[in-house]
Amino acid sequence: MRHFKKPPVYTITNKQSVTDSKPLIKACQANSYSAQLQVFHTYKDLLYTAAIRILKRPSLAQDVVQEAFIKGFQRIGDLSEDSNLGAWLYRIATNLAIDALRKEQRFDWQDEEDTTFALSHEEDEIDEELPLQLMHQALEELKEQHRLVVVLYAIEGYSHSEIAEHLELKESTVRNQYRRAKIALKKAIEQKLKTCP
Amino acid sequence: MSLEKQLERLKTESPLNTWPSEQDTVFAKRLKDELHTARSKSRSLWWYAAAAVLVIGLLSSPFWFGGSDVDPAKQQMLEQIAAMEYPSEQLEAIAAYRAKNDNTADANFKEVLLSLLHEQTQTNVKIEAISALQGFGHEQEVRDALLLALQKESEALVQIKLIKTLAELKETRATDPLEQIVADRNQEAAVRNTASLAVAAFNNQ
Repeated sequence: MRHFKKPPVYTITNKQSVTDSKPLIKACQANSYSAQLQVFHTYKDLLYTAAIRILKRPSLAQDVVQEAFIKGFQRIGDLSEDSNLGAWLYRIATNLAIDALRKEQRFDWQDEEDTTFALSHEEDEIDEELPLQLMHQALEELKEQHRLVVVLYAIEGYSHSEIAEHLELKESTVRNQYRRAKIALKKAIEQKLKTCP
Repeated sequence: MSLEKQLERLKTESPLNTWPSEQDTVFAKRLKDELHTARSKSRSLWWYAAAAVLVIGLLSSPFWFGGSDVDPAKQQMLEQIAAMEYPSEQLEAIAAYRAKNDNTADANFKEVLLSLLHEQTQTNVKIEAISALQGFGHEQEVRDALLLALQKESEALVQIKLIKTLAELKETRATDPLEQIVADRNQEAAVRNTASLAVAAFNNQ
């Protein structure tokens, strides 16, 4: 097994979650400007990271993040005090990011007949923990729509049907694209592992 | 470890992107405008009504098109403006439209712009309104409105726009309020500097 130098582990939960966000939620529900700014400063990097991951364009990601906070504060009355505020805002931001992509109609989602084979369970396994940088690079090499379905399904945790709904596609199209994307990603990773010193 | 598990690590273990700090002020301003202005709730209704009047005025006034027939391309553009989701988008588009057509003498349009100047709190909208009002600068009513706005306005970017507009209109009655701004240490430095330049320009006339 190959050994890579691991990057410093960054745990979102440690830094980003507010252990007791009840008072903050309550204050935001009362439309407190300072509480809203506090929430913004707590979660802005987290939301921005997700938006960039989906959209890739910093300026559009900034617009989406701002919109997410504004929308979140407008709807915060619907949120119970025990809810995870960060996760809730995060989902608003990712939904808005996907909607922004859909409106741009950047991709050609041809639902061609699927001739690819799904990876078997064994083929899907990678017996070593891959360096994050390598994963990033491999992901960036994918076709744009492949990268998007991988990001949404495997990283952001959307289901195939949710992705299909947001992008106004058939669920089978999303499944096919994801299958192809995974095969392409596996190839890219293997290629990189071969050339890795 | 499955490929999917490996991918999950990109979310949990990757360093976060840093939000650009210059965008903090932009957001704080937007938050204030959209959720903390006294008129923010009524404004949207008022604003949509004003925008509707504006667009109807544009659509119905043959003056805009320099003749009796409406050019289909212009008609399409106006319909697009009417369909825009955000007021600021509408105003920007209208400003662009004005720039192309140089039609500024429509009375309905002027009335809407004056209302925007006094009631609307969104900075970019006010700036667009002032810019459009400059085309009516020969009218006493507009000059009075701009002078009054200069005395009431507290938003620095709008103040600067007002000062520059009044200076370009050579409205010498602005000298006193401008001198007050120059002397007021509570004003933003950029506002005081602009006011100071305008006063100097008036003195050189």
